[in-house]
Parts: sequence; C-alpha cells; structure tokens
Amino acid sequence: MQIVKHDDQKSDASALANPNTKVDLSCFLGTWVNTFKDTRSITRFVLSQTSMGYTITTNVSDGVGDLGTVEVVPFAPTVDSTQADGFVARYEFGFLEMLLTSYYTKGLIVVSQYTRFKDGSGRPDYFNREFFFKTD
Amino acid sequence: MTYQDITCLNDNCRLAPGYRHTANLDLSSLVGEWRNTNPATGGIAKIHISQVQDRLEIRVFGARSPDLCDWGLLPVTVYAYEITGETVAGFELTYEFDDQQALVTAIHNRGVLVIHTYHKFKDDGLRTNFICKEFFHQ
Repeated sequence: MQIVKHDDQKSDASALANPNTKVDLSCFLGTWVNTFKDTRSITRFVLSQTSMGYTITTNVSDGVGDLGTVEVVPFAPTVDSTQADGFVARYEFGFLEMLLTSYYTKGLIVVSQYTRFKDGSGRPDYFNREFFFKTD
Repeated sequence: MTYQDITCLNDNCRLAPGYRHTANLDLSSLVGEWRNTNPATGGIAKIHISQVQDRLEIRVFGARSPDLCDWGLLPVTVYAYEITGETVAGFELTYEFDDQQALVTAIHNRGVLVIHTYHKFKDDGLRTNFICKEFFHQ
C-alpha cells in the first residue's frame, strides 16, 4: 500500500470494524437548488442512484438549460468512513470541460465549478462557487 | 440543439457587453511557498508554486513520518474568477500514484489558499475515497 501522506492510512481497528470501502451518497439523493436565484450558472441539480452507481443531472441558467446526466464519484470525510461528505463529477462537451467538486456543510452542498475552454476562443478558464439547498 | 452548435453553456460563459478578455492572467499572487496553517496536519504539509512563462507548476509535500513525501512537480490548470480573466482564482491538477488518484483543487482568497484534495483509491479494497480540506498561508 502506497502512502503519500499520513491521513492515507486506515487504522487496523477501523479496517476490522468496517471492511466496507464503498462511500454511501444516499442521504444526498434528490433535488438541490441554488441559494442565489439570479445565478448565471447552475440553477439546480439532481443526485440519483442507478444500478451502476450515482449520477448527477444539472441545469444551468439560460444557454442549453439541461447539461445532461453524468457519473458522480462520492467521497467520505476520512479514509475510515463511508458516509459521503461530497462528490466529484465531470462534464465533457468538446469545446468545454466542466469539473464539479463539492462538499456538504450545515445543510448545504457547496459546489465549485472549474470551467475549461478547449475551443481556442481565448476565453480564460474560470472558477465559481455556489451553494445549494435540498428541496425534497 | 446539439452541444456542437453552441459555444456557451450558461450566462457565465458569455462576456458581457463592454467587457473584454484580459490578455494574460496575473499569477504572481500564487507564486511561492505555502505552508499548512495546521502544523500537525496528516495531509499536505506545504506546497511550492512556481511560474514558468504564463503557466504555473506546483510541487506538493505530503505529511508522512519521518520525512515529507514529495508528490512531484506538475503543471496545473489555472482558473480566473471571471470570464474577463482579471483575477486569478486558483488551480487544479491530478496526481496519479500507483494505487490512488489525488485531485488537488486550490482557491486563493485574502491571503489564504484553500486546498481540497479528493483521494480516489484504485480498488485496493482497503481504503475509502475521501476529501481532505486544508488551509495554507505564505
């Protein structure tokens, strides 16, 4: 086992007590709405579970509206836990790539959006962060 | 409409009338050595950021007894705060290790570099994918 930092290591006691390593995102499933009604970016997203794993369906303001559905990779807060604390998803549109990283805090999911242009338009890659609350 | 027909996914991708792109993003606010605000961290102890022409390269050092673990020097993708590109927001990159992938995202705000590292293990069946959130100062 390769250790690149101390926190990568799972304790022996923890490994015995909880051999499962699958991160559970089920408590976040449902519709999440942007706290900022006038956002120029993601207005809402839906987290779902399929037989293959978890997915996200994202809606944005104006533009194309529905960005479609992609796979979500859930992450726990520590190497010992299995309850999700956030997730990562990646949209690929050819001319543009959008990386979504997120974490949960105090009833909100904080989504960081890293948008990278690949169309030679000269637009700088840009970042924005927004907050979402659960509606169902 | 297909995605091939468009160049904007949402309003943020569009430059407002009267605005223009900045030719080069000023990266100087990120350059230098950044140390974890928690000296007892079990995560990332420090990172070095250097500028090479209009790009940034970073070297991450993980906290691992007895010495630090050098993750290596890699170029990063830099992001602006706005489509106008006047202020650098941060960067992201992915380290590929033998048995894990570490996505490192960093955002600079008021002298603090907030780093989230998403560790995804390659099916070792022992460890859970996890997030590490840490703060760094110069």
